Amino acid sequence: MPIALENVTYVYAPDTPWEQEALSGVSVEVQDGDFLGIVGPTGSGKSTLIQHMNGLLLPTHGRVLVDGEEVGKDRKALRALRRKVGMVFQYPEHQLFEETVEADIAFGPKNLGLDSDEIAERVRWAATSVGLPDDILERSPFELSGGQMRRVAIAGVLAMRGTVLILDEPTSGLDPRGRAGLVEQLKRLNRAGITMIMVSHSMEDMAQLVNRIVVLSEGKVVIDDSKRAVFSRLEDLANLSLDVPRVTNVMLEMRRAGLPVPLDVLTVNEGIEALCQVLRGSDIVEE
Amino acid sequence: MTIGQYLPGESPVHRLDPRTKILGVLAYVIILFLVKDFLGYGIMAIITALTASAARIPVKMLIRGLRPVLFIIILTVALNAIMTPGEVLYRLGPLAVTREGLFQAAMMACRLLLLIVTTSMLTLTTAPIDLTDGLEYLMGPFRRIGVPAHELAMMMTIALRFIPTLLDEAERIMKAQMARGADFQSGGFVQRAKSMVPLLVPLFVSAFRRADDLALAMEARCYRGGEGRSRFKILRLGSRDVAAGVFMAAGFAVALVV
Repeated sequence: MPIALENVTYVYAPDTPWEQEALSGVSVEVQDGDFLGIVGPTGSGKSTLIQHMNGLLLPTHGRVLVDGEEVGKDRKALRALRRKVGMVFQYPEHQLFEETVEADIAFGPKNLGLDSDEIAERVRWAATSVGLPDDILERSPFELSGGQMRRVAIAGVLAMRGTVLILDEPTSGLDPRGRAGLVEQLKRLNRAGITMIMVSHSMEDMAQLVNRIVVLSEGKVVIDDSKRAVFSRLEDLANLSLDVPRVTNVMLEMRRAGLPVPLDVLTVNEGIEALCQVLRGSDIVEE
Repeated sequence: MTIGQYLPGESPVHRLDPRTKILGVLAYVIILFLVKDFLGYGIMAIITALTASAARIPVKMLIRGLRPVLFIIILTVALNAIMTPGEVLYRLGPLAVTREGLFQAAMMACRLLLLIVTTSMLTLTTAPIDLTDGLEYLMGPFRRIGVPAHELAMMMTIALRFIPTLLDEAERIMKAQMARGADFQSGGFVQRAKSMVPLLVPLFVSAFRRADDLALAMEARCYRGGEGRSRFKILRLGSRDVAAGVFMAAGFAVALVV
C-alpha cells in the first residue's frame, strides 16, 4: 500500500493572527516494505507530515494518495485508512486507559468489531511482537515501568494489524536496554513485511533501522536519499544542527588525525571492521 | 473562541496597568446596567469603539468573539419581545409581540453586546499573567477578612497556564485513540459518553502527573505561599493610567447624565 504526498501544504489556524505554515509544498513517497526515517530540527514539520499519512490531518493544498486513492474524499474511507495505517504518537504510554494490559491492547481490535477468539489471538501476537511476557497481560498498565508501558502502547497499535506503521520518536526517554530491545523488535516487524515510517532525533536509531531518510527543514524537504548518502553530507546536516551517528563522527575525527579510514560508517561493528582493516594495512599494529 | 484569549500587542491599551483595566471594565459593567436609554448606550458604545481602536484590535476578532454567545442574545431578545406586557403589535396564537417588549429587547441586546465585547477586550489586551497579578493586588486589602488573595491568584495563573497544554494533550490523545479505531462522533448519548472514557482517563492521569511535577518543581525552588514573597514585576500606576482613568470617568459621567 504505497503512500504518496504530492505538493502538500498545511496551514495551522488559517485566517487568524496565529496562522502558521507547517508544511509547504512537500512531496514524499513511501513504497511497500520501506523503512523510512524522517529527521529535522524541532518545528520543521515532522509530526505534521506523518499525520497526513493516515488522514488525521488533511492538506490545505496538494493531495495525499494512499494506494492510489486520494485521502479525505469521504469519511468512511478515512476510518478504513486509519485501520491500515497504524500511528504510534510520541510518548504513546500516555494514551493507556484500561484496567489491564490485555484490555488496553484489545481496544483497537474491539473497535474493529472482531470476535473474541480473533481479539485474544491478536492480543497475544501483538504482546509477543513487542516482547511483553505473558504474565504482564493481567496487570494494570499504570503499575508497569516506562519501557513496558511504551511496549503495551505500541502493541495496542500493532493489534490493529495495519500494513503500515508510523512511529513518532519511539525510543525517546527509554533506557539503553529498553531502546536496544525496541529497535530489535521494530527491525523484526519491518522484516515481517510491515512498512515503517519513523520520526526520530536519534541518529543511532536511524543508522540501525531505516533504509531511506527524508530531512525536513522549515516545512520543506531538503534531502531525500538513502541512509548512507544522507549521512555522508556532514556539512549540510551540521548546518541544520542535525547530528550523524557517533561512530561516523569518530571516523571523521580519525580521518582528520591522519588515518585513512572510510567515512561512510554507520554502526559500531562497521567501524571496528574498517579500523581493523586500516590498521592491518599499516605498521602501527606492530609497534 | 475569543473570550479569554490574549492578543499580544504593543498598543497603549496593552501597556496600561492591569488594575486600571480591571477596575475600568468593572465600572463599565455597572454603568451599563444603570443606563436606561439608547443615547446612554450610544455613548458607552463610543467608549468601547475608541478603546478598541486604541488597542488596535481587528473588528473581525471582536465579531468572531460574539459568535458563541449569539444564541443567548437571540434567545434573550425573543423572550423579552414576547414576555413584556403592553401595547400589542403582532399576535401569533398565545404569543404577542408588544411595543414595550421590542423596546426592552433592543435594550437587552445592546447591553449584552457591549458587555461581551468590552469584557473580552480586557482579556484580549492583557496577558493572563498580568491579569492575575492585577487581581492579586486588588484583592490584597481583603486578606484581612480572610480572602486568600495570593493563593487564588496563583491558582488562576496555573489554571490559565495549563489550559492550552491540556487542550493540546486532549487533542493528541484523541488522535491516538482515533488511530486505534475509536469513534468520538457517532452513536447516541450513552454511546458517546462511553466513548469519552479512553480520552478522559489518560487526560486525568496526565493532569495529575503534571500537577505532581509542578508542585515538586515549585517546592524545590522554595515556594511556600505568598507570605514574605518578593515580586519580579511591581505594578506601578503611571501617567497613562491617570489619562485612561480620566477618559473613562468623563465617558461614564456623560452616559449617566444624558
